[in-house]
Amino acid sequence: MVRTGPDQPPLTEGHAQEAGSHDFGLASAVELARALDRLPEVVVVGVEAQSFGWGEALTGPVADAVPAAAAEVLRVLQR
Amino acid sequence: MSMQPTSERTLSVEVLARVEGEGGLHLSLRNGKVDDVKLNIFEPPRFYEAFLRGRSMMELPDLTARICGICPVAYQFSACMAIEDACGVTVPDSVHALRRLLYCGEWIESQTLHVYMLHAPDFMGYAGAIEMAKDFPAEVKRGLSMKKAGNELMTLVGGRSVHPVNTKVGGFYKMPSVADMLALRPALVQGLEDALETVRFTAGLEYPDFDRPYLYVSLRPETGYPIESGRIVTSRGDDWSVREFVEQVEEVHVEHSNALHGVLDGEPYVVGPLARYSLNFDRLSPLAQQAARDAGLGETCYNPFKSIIVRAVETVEAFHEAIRIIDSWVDGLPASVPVPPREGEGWGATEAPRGLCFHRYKIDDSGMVTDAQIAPPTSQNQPSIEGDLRELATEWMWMSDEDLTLRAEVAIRNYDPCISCSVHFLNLTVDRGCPARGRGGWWSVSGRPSAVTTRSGRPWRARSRDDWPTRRCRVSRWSNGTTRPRSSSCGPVARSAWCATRCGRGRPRARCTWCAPVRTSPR
Repeated sequence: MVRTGPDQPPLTEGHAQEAGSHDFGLASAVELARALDRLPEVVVVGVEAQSFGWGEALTGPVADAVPAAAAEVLRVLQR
Repeated sequence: MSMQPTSERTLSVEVLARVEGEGGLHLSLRNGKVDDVKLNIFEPPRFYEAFLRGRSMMELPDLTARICGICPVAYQFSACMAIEDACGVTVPDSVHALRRLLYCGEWIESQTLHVYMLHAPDFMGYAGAIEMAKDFPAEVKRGLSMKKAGNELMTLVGGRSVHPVNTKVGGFYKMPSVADMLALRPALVQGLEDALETVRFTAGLEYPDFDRPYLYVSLRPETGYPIESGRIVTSRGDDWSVREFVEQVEEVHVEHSNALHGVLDGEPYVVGPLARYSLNFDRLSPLAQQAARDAGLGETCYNPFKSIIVRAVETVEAFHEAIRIIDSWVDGLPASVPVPPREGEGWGATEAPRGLCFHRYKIDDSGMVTDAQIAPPTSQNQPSIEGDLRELATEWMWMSDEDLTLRAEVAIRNYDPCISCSVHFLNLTVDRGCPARGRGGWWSVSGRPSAVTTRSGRPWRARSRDDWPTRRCRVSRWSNGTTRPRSSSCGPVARSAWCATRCGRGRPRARCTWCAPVRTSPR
C-alpha cells in the first residue's frame, strides 16, 4: 500500500519518472499534482503482480492477497 | 571527455525521454566529422498491415485507432477515407464538418501535450514537466486546462477522449446536438485565449539559428487549413492526389529501425506542423496569422526548433476552427451514408498532429481487406530527423558531450516523434534474434550502454550479453555541476523481464514466440 498526500514526502524515484509519455503513470500524476499544489490525500492499495504471461486466472499468491487488499480498501473508506 | 575535434566521440541515448514510445539515438563523430547517425527505433514491429488482411473494412476505424493513443483520429479518418474512396462513396458535408471538429479535438490534445509536457522543459532548462511545474505552475496548469478542453471536445463528438467510438466508415453513429455543442463553447473560448497565450509564451523562449533546406509535404484542401482532407502539395511545387503521392513515396527498411523510412525520389522530406504551416500560411484564420506574426514567425518556417511555436499557432487554429464549426451547427443533419462494399483499391490521407498519415487498402467484393499499407508521419520523418542530427552535430561539434547529446535529443523532440505509431512492418523479414542477443537482431550492438550507474550510485557493468539493462541508465550532468540519474529504472534486470519490457508479451524470454531464438510466426 502506498499512502501520500500534500504533507507527505514525494514518492521516491522508481515511482515517479520522467521518461517517455508512455511511462507517465499514476505516480507521475501524483507528483505533478503535488508540484501544482493540487494533491489531495491519495491512498493506493495494490497487489504486486506475479505473472504477466497468458492466462485468465490469478496466480495463487495474488488470489490469496485479494481479500486482504479488499479489506484494506474498506478500512480506508470507513475512516 | 574530450573536446578536441580530432578525437573520436560516441554519443548515445539508450531510451529517449519525452517521446511517444521507445527509441534511442546514436551519434559517432570521428576526426571532426560526423561518422554515423542513427535514430534507433527498437520498439518491436506491430504487424498492423499484416493482421488487417482478412478483416472487414467496417472494422478498420476501430482497429487502426489502436495504433496510437495520442492520434487515433488520424488513423480512423485516413482509413475511412480510403475505404470510402475504394467503394466510390462521397460523405455529406455534415460528416466532413464533424470529422474536422473531432480532429480539432485531437490536435488540441496532442499539440498541447507536446508543447507543455514534452517540449517546453527543453527550452526552460528542466528535466521534465513535473520539475517545470514546481517553478512555472501557471504555464503547466494552462497546458493541462487546454488539453482538458481538447479531451472534452473528443468526448462530445467521439464518445470518449481516447480512441473514439462514434466514428465509422461512412460517417458517425450519432450526431451531437446543438445544445451539447453550445455547452462546450465556453471551454473552447477559454482554450482559444490560452492558446494565444501559449503562442506568446513559446515566442519568448530562446532558439538556436538552425534553418534547414527541407522538402515539405502536406495536404492542402480547397478551403481552410489542412486537417482532415486535401490534395498533397510540396515545397518544390508538386500537387498530387493522395493516390499519386503514394506512388511517389518509397518506404525503405534500414537495419537500425523497426519503422520504415519514407523517401520521395530518394530524398528525405518533412511532414508535420512546419510543413503544413509553410505550405498553408494563407489558409490560417486571420487570428492565427496575426498570432504567428506577433510571435516573429514569417509565412514559412524552416527552423525545426521553432516547431513548438508553430504547434502553438496550430492550436489557436484548432480552437478557432472548433468554435466556428460549433457555431454553425444545426440539429438533424445526416450522420452517415451507407457504404456498400465493392472490389477495389482506395487511398486516404489526413493530417495527424505529427504530419501526413496515409493509408491504402485493397478490398474484395465482400468488403474484406486483402491488402493494407499505412504510412505514419514519424516513419516519413525519420530520414529528416537523422539529417538534422548530422547537421547539428557538425554545427555544434565544439559542445561538450552532455550539451551536444541534449541538443540532439531536443532536435528529435522537435518532430514530436510517435515511435509506437511508426513501427509497422508488413512482414517480419529480420532475424528473430532476441534484442538482447544483438547480431542481426533488432538492436544494433553500438546502441547499448557500456556502463551505467545504478540507483544506489555504484557503477555497474554488464557481465554477459544477456545482462543489459532495459531502460536508459544515463547519469546527466546539470549546469550547476550536480549529477542525477535521468531514469529511475536503472540497474540490471532479470532475463525473464525482457519480454515484459521489450515486446510487451510478458513471457519469460525462453517461452516468448517473439524473442525466442527460433523464428515462429506471431499470433
